[in-house]
Amino acid sequence: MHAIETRALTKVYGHKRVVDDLDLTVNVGDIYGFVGKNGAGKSTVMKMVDSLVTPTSGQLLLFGSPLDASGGTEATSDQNGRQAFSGSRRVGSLIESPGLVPGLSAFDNLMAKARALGIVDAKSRCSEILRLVGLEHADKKHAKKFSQGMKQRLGIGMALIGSPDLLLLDEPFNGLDPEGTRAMRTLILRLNQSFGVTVMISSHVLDQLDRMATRYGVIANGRMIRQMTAEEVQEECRESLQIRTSDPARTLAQLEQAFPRARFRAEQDGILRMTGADDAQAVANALHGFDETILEFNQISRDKEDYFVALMEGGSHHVQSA
Amino acid sequence: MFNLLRSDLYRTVRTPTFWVFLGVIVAMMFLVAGMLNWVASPEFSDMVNDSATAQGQPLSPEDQAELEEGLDEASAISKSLDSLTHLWAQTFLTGGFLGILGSAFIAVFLVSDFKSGFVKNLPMDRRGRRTYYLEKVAYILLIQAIFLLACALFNTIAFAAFGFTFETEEPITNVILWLGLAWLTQCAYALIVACLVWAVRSDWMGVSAALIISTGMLGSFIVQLLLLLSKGLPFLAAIPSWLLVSATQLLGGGGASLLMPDANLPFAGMLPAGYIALVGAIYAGASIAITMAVLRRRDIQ
Repeated sequence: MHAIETRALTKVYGHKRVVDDLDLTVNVGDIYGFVGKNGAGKSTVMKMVDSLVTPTSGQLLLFGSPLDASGGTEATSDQNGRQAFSGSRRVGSLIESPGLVPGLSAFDNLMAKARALGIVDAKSRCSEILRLVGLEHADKKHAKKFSQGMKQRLGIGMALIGSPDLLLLDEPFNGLDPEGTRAMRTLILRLNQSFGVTVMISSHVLDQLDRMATRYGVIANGRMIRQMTAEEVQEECRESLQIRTSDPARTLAQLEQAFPRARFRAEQDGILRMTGADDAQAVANALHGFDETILEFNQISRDKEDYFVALMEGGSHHVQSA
Repeated sequence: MFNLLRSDLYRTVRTPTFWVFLGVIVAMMFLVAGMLNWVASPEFSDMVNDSATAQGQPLSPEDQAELEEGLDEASAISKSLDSLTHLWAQTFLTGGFLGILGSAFIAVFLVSDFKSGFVKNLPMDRRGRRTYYLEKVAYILLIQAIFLLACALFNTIAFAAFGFTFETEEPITNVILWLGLAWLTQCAYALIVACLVWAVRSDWMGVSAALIISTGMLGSFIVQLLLLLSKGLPFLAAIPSWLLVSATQLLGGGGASLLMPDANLPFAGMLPAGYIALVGAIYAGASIAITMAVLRRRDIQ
């Protein structure tokens, strides 16, 4: 069972396809880094997952339960026949803004949500959450007097108060100082590793994502460009050879035979990317021996940020031309 | 739904807006009672007397005695009011005071969920939305009851404190009937404003709607317009009697008039109480239906 699964998920506003035929999977236990430019559709996807926005078409499943066309989840039953709570009740979210009532204190904001969810012993739960997010000394302070970072922390607290199995965080590091960022990252990792919470994070702060994410999804113009594991990203950002010849297919076959342990990937414009080759000179010599016209041969190592940017921009071009 | 209602009531009592509105009610009731008490006082009579004699020819002793006797009589009468429900109607209902307070509060509260983004913290799947909007309807009904009872209570206390009495001792059933129908009409106004607020999600538009709709201003304008147009289109003359403002105005006579047949009502033999209940229920029901059928499905950005 996936925590989140979308199939051809689409959202149209007027004539604009904000999310376009999106297939996405988030496994239970993932910290899923959702990467894309501003306006790529990340927030809209997260809002659809959180039932705030109704999809125009496509399917969306939360923990195996499908959301219907009206944005509702089907009730399911566990093995004892008891009705399980709907998918959205196991979701906590911080999407775009923390959703705080300005005239209420931090404690009262949490209490308002705790009461709405029917949490037993709401007061102790709220106190616990305030300690967890480092706001126990500001419990009586009105939310309108909070700094941006404090609001973000309280927003996380609001997302956590229902003990969710799935956490949706949209730009959670906004407004946080380095200490706050580290505290936020530590909290997310603890929730994931100690409590098994699945986390979906959209963020531009790739450095922070790199330290947490177990899988990534790259979105551009509302479409999923690629999904990959953190290990695959690591692999692709290692030192590699960028090769372009007059006959890429023949070159690929010959290199695979000559270097069976290496990994190859065909990219746009006939470029072959080769990783795992220990000796660039040996590869160059082999290419000369193939009697192919060598158009390009570079040894590169890629910065992860450059990698994702290239994916996003390459994806944008791909989508626009498609 | 009960949990959401508990949450909303928690938020209501923890923010100053509710207490400010209650304070306005208390202050206004005592202000009105105080003003009427002053009008009924000998000092006011003397002021009128002095003003009259200063403007005209000096009065003869006989005319002076007659004027003073008339002012004394008026003073005695003005301290004796028709009935309790008539007083309530004239003080806070037909003038729109309760309407604007009840609807403006609702407008501000409902919009704050979307403006602050608090609504994003709540389950918004199909079942969650149904629960959310139904709970809000229940909340609206509850708040209107609270404001109505607060107006009635503090109005009664204020006028009693200033020594006002009533000519007619009303049966408790009349009082309850009047309160019930007043509550229904005010709920209908508040639900109409709620529909508008959920449609546009703007606090200033919501408060403006409360001012224009719940005071009967819009309704009165529509009545005048329809009566004017009915000269060319006679069927339009039947519509004003089905407007909420017309039903609310019937409450102005107090509880006693609710059970007296009125030939001006749409259906022959219909009592005003039944007519007000029907009109109030139509508008309230339509607002709830629009909310659940249409507004509930709007995306939350």
